[in-house]
Amino acid sequence: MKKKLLYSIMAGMISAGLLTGCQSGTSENSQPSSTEAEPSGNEAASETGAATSQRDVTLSLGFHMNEKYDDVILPIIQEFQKLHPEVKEVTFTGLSSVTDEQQVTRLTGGQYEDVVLIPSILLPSELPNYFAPLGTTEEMAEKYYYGDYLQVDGQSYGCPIGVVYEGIIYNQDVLDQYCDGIVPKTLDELMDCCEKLHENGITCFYTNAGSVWPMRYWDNLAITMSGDNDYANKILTTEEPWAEGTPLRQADDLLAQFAKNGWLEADVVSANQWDVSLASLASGDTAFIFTGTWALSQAQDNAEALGLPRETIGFMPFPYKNDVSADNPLKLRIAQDLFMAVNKNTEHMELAQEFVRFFCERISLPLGMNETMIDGGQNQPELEFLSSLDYVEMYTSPAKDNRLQEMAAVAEIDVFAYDGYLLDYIMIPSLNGEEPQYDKLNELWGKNFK
Amino acid sequence: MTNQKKLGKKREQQKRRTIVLFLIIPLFFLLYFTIYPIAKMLFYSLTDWKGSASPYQFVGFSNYLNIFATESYRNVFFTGSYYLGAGLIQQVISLFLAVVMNKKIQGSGIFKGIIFFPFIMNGVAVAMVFRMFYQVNGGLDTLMNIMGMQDYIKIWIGNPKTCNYALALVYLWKNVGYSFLIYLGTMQSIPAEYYDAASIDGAGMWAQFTAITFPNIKMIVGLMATLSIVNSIAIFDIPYVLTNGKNGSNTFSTTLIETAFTYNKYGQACAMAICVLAIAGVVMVFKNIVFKEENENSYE
Repeated sequence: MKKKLLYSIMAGMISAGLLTGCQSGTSENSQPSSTEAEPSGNEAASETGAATSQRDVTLSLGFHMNEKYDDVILPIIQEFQKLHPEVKEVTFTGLSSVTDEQQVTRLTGGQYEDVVLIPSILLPSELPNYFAPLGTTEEMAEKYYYGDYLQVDGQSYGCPIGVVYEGIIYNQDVLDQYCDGIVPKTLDELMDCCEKLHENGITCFYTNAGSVWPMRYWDNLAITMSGDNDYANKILTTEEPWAEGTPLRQADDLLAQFAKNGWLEADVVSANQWDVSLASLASGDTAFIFTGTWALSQAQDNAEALGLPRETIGFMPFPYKNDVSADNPLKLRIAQDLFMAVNKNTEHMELAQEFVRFFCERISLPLGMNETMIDGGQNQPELEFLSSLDYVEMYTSPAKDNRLQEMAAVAEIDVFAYDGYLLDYIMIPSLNGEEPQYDKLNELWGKNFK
Repeated sequence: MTNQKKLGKKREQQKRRTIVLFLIIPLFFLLYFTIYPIAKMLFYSLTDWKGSASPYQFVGFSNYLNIFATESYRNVFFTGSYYLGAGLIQQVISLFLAVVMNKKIQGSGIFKGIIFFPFIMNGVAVAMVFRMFYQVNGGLDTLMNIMGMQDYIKIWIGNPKTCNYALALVYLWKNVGYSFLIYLGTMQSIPAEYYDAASIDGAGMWAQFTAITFPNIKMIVGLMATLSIVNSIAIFDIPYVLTNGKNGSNTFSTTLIETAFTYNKYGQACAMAICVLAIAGVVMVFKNIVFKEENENSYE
């Protein structure tokens, strides 16, 4: 009898120990949205009944920018709750420190929120396995920039959180000092300016190539230079995308030339130098960073921290050609950023689908992006001047063909994706006095056609 | 007599039952979290699985053949040689430090702490500290300027000629403390009488080391050398944080992550992981054969 009791106690203790770590739903990063989340006293007692009511809904949200939860994210949630009083709580899971790889693992494990950021490494063909469609591609594309970007079988799965312009963030003080205050409008002006900057020990471009992701802007420059908004998809049928005269080759040649001339930051390999690069731009050690306008406010914050006016930091389209005029405008790519989706297993599908749009339509401006709506979407105030420039023509790219990622995987060249190949095959050889390895790139891409 | 036998048998059964009960949970965890994933990984390594919910097809051993047929995969073995070199130097340095610290030196406790401290630091934190150390006009450049060696300053991480040396040095710095502690612990288990007798016989430090210390710790030396070889292939955090595997610094592990998560070639990545496992297994077996024989000889 005593033995049985002993075994029972042992089993109980082991079970208790095992289950200690289990809890439902929220993670340590999670926080409830509203005041209802922590009721007290009688209020709590009275709400116990209500909590069991079917009208009370709890949604969960997975988004990065944890540090902006109180100032930016919570007000949007509360605004949504006012429209939908049945949503008593929106729990928040901060994904700032969750990598794309970890997020894919969360998806495969089924542990993700009702409304959540889509990891950018997820194959588009996988979207229906995890997410619910948000509408037809036509409907989404009509309403949002890149509303049809993440699509499978005519259904759109991702709602864009905002759009940015791809171009150069520059330090006006540096241009005033070394380039007669001229903001380069043509390629020749840019090259002249870079030469002067280099002579004076200024880093012309801080690429942040070591972090890999900032290189996507250089790759997208090929789309801009091609004049074909759908150029990224054209390489699907091209056996040698880096052949002489191709837009990819032209864009990469430009980067290679910058590297050869010593116009880039001294160490292009060290990763995670983003903050260093912004500080370098603000202090005037660097003149240009080619990136998206989402970084403009960050760069201006850095300038302000150094006691400089925010206007010290400006934005310009990348001057990739000469003879720029209203008839021969510089193209400026309106670029997609991240996308949000609805968990296909959510218990509150309609509310979640409404919430994802509501959230995406409001989150852009506070994060330094332009709003995603085609009609009525607001731009960052600092970028309003662009619409008055007659020599600038903005464009968006059509959705990327799902095969692009598959072909990139076969070739192991992350073209039009992460673009780490630019460092390996273009920049490092150029920095070491060698020619960019276009033949190698063509050979690897050619694997797709064998 | 029969009752006693029965009682003994019953006690034996109860003992077994208790052991089994205690083992159920750890065995379950071992099977579920170690054996099952390895079996699953082995299975996927024979497929062209692209991750998550994608369908897959069996491709036989082509993923394994790819490892040796693809230049970018083969190169990781060359990169591993830098860490292997660093690992072997690490053994020499830590052995030397352990021998010195094994003597009664004033303040040895502080020195032991200083030597061991880097090992308890998080690998990512160490890599980030060294990022500042190696960056242009960073700690190392400043130090060299102070020492009048400015002519030898390089772009340590950005230069392909110095990149892997710089990373291997971080690995060496971080892990010296670990080997040191293991060696020191083993040396302290050697009876002091051996050294006293040797001293009386007039043996110097080198003679004591070769005749007493080394024979007593050679099993551990073998184990640490084995770990160095395995770690040189599996190293991940330092190149991942410092260079993202760029500039010729891709190791087996960073390539594996890139293959799986950037290119969604999970089947290929599984084959690479199994390959690392196999290399580790072969090295361990090799070590056991070599050092077992020597061990048996030493007792003869």
